[in-house]
Amino acid sequence: MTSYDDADPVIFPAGAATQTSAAQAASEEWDAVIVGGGMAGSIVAEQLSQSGHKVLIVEAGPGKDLDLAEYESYLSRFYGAVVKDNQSPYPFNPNARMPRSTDTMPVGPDTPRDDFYLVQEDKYCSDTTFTRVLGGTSMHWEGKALRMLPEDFDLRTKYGQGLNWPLSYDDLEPYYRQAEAELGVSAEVEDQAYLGMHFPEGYVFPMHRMPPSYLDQTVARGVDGMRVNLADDDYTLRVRSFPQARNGVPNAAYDGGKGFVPVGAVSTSQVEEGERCQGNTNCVPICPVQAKYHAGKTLTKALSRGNVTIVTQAVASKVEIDEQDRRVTGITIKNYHSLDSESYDTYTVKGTVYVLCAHAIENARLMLASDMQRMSRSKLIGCNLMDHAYLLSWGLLPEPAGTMRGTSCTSGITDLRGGRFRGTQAGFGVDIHNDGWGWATGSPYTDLVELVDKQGLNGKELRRTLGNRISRQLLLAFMIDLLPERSNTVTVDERYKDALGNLKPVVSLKIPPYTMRGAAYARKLASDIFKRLGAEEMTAYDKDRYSAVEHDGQWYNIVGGNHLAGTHIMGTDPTTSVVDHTQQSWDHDNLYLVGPGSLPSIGTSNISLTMAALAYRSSTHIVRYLRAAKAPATVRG
Amino acid sequence: MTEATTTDEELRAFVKFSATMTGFSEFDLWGTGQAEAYYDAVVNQEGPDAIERAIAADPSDPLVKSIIKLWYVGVWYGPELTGRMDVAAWTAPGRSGAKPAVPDDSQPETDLSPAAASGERRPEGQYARAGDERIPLFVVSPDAYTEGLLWRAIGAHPSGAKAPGYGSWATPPTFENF
Ligand SMILES: Cc1cc2nc3c(=O)[nH]c(=O)nc-3n(C[C@H](O)[C@H](O)[C@H](O)COP(=O)(O)OP(=O)(O)OC[C@H]3O[C@@H](n4cnc5c(N)ncnc54)[C@H](O)[C@@H]3O)c2cc1C
Ligand code: SF4
Repeated sequence: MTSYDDADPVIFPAGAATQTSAAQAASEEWDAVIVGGGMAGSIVAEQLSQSGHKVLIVEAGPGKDLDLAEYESYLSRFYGAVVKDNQSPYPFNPNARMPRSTDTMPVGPDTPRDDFYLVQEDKYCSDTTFTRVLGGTSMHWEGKALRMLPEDFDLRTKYGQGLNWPLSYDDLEPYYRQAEAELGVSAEVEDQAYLGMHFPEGYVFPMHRMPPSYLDQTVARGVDGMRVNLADDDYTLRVRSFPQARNGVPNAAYDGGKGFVPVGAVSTSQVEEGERCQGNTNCVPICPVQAKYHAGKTLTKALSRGNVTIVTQAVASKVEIDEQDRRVTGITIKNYHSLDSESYDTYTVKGTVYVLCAHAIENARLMLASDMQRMSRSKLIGCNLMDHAYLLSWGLLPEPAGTMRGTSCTSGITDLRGGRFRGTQAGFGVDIHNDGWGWATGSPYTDLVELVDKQGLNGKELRRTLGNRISRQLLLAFMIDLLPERSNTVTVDERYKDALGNLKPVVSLKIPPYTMRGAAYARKLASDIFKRLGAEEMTAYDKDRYSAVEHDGQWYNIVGGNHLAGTHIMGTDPTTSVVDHTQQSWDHDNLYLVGPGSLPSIGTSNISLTMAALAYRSSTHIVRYLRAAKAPATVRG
Repeated sequence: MTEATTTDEELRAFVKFSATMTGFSEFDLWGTGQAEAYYDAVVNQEGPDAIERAIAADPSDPLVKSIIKLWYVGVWYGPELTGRMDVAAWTAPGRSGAKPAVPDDSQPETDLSPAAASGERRPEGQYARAGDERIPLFVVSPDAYTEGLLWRAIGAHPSGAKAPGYGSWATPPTFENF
């Protein structure tokens, strides 16, 4: 591992992430104060800085995170970690904790107070995660970048389920393109124009699609042309490539023939980094070469303009509100001194407009801890928590298919994302996992331990058996829609606090029957697919796990999707939604809540591209707001 | 004979024995650059006579199994963790969206404070010191992970390192002849 000392060039304009102290930030007036330097926060900051506004980002994570040395230290920490879960690259930070799948447990009176971050008191617990470092969860997201289907925007009208959006696919379409450019999406229009998704004449994605893996090709030989009947409609299935926010081969036809220049690593020193995806099969938890988009790429652009400032190690702890006019007057931050100490200083930072971009659970947690539900007309802060429900199915193919190579996932089956059956059961997308059974079983390490310890293999026989077995693994992950339910919530509770005394998020998420009907169907479909492929069924669910859900007398394990959304949904009415179509709070004029929390439904697409498109759209409104606010009173009069 | 040569000979004997047990050549094993580190780990964890005992033991001996797994993934699973699938799942790289959460009663008796579990390294040399308390579960070093034989056995590369190149995943897998 290359090591970098202080003299090495770093990504940011030198010291950008640490040059302003919290004290200094608190002594100035900002046009916009943004909470959270993840994907949403970076996009908003970049857009506002482009319009010449003076922006402060307060970020809970530690400071150096986005220089290359820190990035490399993430990798080294990952390699050396005993428990290699998806938070393992990141240092343990008691002052801004994050959930880890290994601390998933029902929390009761006897649970040690410090063993968990997400408090879940129910029997069913989700192992969903998000990350609190500079760059946010995009540091370890997988990078699938699908658009939502046009029908997802009016599910209520069409199928009598869920909620309608205050926006349509067409309203969002130009912003989808903007997001696809920023994230650097690799895909082909001809693969993606299905179930009503449409693109303007002549549009091409920034980069060509990722080549489908040999495993995808193997599955396609069995699946392409397979017919299923669902709610009286016929569907023909095929394996289709997924749009991905990672660097591939730029499309020369992009932007009317101007082509596309991929954003490399946020580094000035490493020529090889940030280039094309090299097939490290490690997109989650961290891409070693920064081929995958992360928010640091956007943040770097914003910081280089000179009017954006970041204060790190600054945990937003309270939104200050004027009781009379209900405007936000400041954000109180706890600026901790180091990861090893719980000492901190408190400051209040002030701006004309405030933008919360701390992600669905943290946005809600912060608002609830600030007692904002009291002023909310809808009382929906923290309600309608959503996350895709994942059902895993795994089998053993008859021949080696090259599993464990390529990006986590290059293709899947998307034909059952939409259709009239959504009147009664959830739609889903299917991922073909290039990383084998890992997600379900802990393969390949569990295979090793089983073959060595339980079957007593060693020597060449062990080597051969391992190769043969792992290369034949097929894991289909069904990503199932979960509708907004008022009773699925993030709340806070005085009993649960973190090291800084901030209230921890308490999450209660139950998997509704509508979703489970989709899961039951998915299970059957997986078996049919395995049969067509001649694969041996290996799927087994465990009713004793926290992920166990019973449906129609059968037990399933529903694992977390990491697509947290819905805690401050958008709508057309202040009594039934928290923000309007621009993500402006209905209750606080100078407050915007930007991020997946605003999504009124998540459909069957990974949420971030849609969230990013919305962030671009909202940025135009925030710029307008700031112009109006800063204009001389006579003009406004 | 000086002590240095004795150790040297024992190291060579360890690699030779490991070659038979792992199914890789001695040349392959030396090529990982991990031989000394693994030797040290075994001796420090299991005592000065550990190598001798392992070589004399039946391959079904838990100590031998620990050594095989060490070469394959760079993780020292102490003999008392033999057959522990939950621990194996825990240590596997990969998305944990669904890595099985470790049940409360199956935590290996080792210092897995949240900090240690999140991969915070102890200062160099703090692992595996003779005479110290034993540590039943640790990754020998970041390099030990990337040098694991497992990845070669499955015709792949360690996830997160030694990337095979753009598009390499589209072709049929190839396995080394041995
Ligand atoms: C394993 C995994 C895989 C995923 N894969 C995909 C995928 O393939 N496709 C997809 O579309 N989505 C995926 N996601 C989801 C995606 O990562 C998130 O939707 C996205 O990152 C959300 O962006 P955000 O900016 O709203 O929040 P984040 O990226 O989480 O950023 C929030 C920021 O706010 C900071 N913050 C939090 N609390 C505070 C506070 N109190 N004060 C100050 N700062 C604070 C955090 O440190 C962070 O920097 C995945 C997620 C995970 C965990
Ligand atoms: S496959 Fe690899 S190189 Fe490509 S994005 Fe994932 S981790 Fe990065």
